Amino acid sequence: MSGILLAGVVFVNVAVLRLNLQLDSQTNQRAKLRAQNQSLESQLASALASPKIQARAQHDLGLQSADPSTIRYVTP
Amino acid sequence: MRERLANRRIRLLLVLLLLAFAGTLARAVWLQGVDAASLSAKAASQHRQTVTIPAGRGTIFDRGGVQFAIGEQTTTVYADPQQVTDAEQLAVTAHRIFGVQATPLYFALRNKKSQFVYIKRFADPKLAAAFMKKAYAGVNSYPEEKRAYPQGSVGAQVLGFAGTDDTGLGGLELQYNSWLGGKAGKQTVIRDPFGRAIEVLSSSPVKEGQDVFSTIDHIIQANAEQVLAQTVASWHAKSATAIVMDPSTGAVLAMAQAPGYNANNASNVPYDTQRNRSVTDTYEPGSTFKLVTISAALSLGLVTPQTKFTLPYSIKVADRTIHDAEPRGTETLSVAQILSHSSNVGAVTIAEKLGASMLMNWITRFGFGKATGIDFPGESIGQVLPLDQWSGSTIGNVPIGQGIAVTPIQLISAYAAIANDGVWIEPHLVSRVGGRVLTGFKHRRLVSPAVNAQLKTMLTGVVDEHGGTGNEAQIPGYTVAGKTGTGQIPGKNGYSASNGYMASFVGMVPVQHPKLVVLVVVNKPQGSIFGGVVAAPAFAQIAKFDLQYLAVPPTQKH
Repeated sequence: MSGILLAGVVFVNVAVLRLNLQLDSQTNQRAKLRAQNQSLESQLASALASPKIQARAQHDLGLQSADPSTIRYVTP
Repeated sequence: MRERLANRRIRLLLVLLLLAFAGTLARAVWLQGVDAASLSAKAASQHRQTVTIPAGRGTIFDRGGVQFAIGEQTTTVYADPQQVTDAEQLAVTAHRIFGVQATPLYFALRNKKSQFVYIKRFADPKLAAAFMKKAYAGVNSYPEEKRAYPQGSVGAQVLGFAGTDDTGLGGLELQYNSWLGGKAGKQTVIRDPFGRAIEVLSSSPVKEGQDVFSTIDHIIQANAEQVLAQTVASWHAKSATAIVMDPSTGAVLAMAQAPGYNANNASNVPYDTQRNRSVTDTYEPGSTFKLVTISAALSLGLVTPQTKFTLPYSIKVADRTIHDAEPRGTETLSVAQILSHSSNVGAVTIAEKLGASMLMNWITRFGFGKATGIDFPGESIGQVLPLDQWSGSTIGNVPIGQGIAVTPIQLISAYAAIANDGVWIEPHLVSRVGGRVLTGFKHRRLVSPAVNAQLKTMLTGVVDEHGGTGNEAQIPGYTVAGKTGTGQIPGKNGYSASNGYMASFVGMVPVQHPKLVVLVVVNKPQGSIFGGVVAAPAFAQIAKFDLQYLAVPPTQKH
């Protein structure tokens, strides 16, 4: 009887240990992904910065801003 | 005989066994008793570890959800010189991978009195991983967040900056630091010989920093900064400031400044450039301040817009002579014309009818001499001379915006009140923190709706009327109301042309239902000094772009 109990305790302990190891691995993975996500978000925000895009479009492609007089508003 | 010998051997063996057992027992007692505490601590230190889990700093967004300030994960690599075995190789590798200077690092690593040396702070995680693969003795690393400003120079003075320890040290980063910062968590774990956590003993959760949503629009802000940079260059001015505000809410859509700087490089920029002058600096407003004088006289029924005054070119007030900007003969001008032609003599004449005490009441009523309450650190209250310190000539200069200093945010808030049917609203730069929408901004009525309508009509004349000082502020298709200002900069010996001028224009558009109020202040322009020449065109440029961007339909055919 006591042998079965002992085997049970060992089994539970091993299971807890394995779960803790998995948890540690997942935590590390989460931290890495979070760091990568932040970095990508920052790069994206920087790349999408409209003044930069506008400056490049004006400089490299000759973009001209629309003259307000060319805009017509349709009002009900 | 043989039996006795055998017994002796058994006894000897028994004694030896007893001695061995006694020795083992003594050692066990020593380890379990005398040395127990230190050995237990040593074992715990090898396997038990308390780690701080840093809280990610919240992001600052513009009003459209574009990131202004964001946390970027980096890795900081450090060394314990007492454990470093090959300082030379370590320094050379650090130079090769991180580009750090090898010689100073080498000497720092050779200093065995020290136990901590940064090899590279805020390193690119990939480079740091490559460095850590070398497995040098005494080298370790930890993740660290670094503040990044993806929009570069856009809104730099408003955002401020966060220091190396990720604490806000200026601007919105400082104002909202307690929300942005969050709270770090802690975890105590037991690690196996491979460094894997096999048991979590205790943990306190991380409270992540909350996001802050600004009222600033990065497009409007970037355009205002660009226009200011052009204005400063064209007029060889020292600097320029502009604010764009939504008068119906008090939300600041842009708070721009030239020269600007890249927010990612704040630590290398002089404090003078980093200061958000719209809130922290004062200037003598000149004629834009005539709004207060005229509003008071209209509200008290002392004049109407049509009341006429016969005005000489100059008048004497105590020991001072006040004159208009351009030489002219004696003229009869209505109150509306006094405003549209920006007559100093006319404004002082009206102020004399008001009296010093009443004028002072209205200066206070408009919010000058006290903070607006804008959510930005270091707001100046301006400089308003207390009534008991007024001299005989003070009534000759305060009504025309001399001898009084205001902040740009105070001035634009006063004009925004006129644009908002006479109701002043507390200006603000942030609309939401986390999931909480900020409400309850202070508001108060400055002038009656009837007086407000008269003021708007008169301010429209400043821009529309032939000969008005603000003609350069006209925008095709829209009716603009506003006021020019040319304030002298006082020096140690009073006012002198050599001290330079502050040229300004503040206006609202479209005047029927103003969507925007824009203030432009240019510091020490060269070539021309007048607000109507220097600042009004910048106003028109900024407002024209913003009207188009916000899709505000024209109010008149052009």
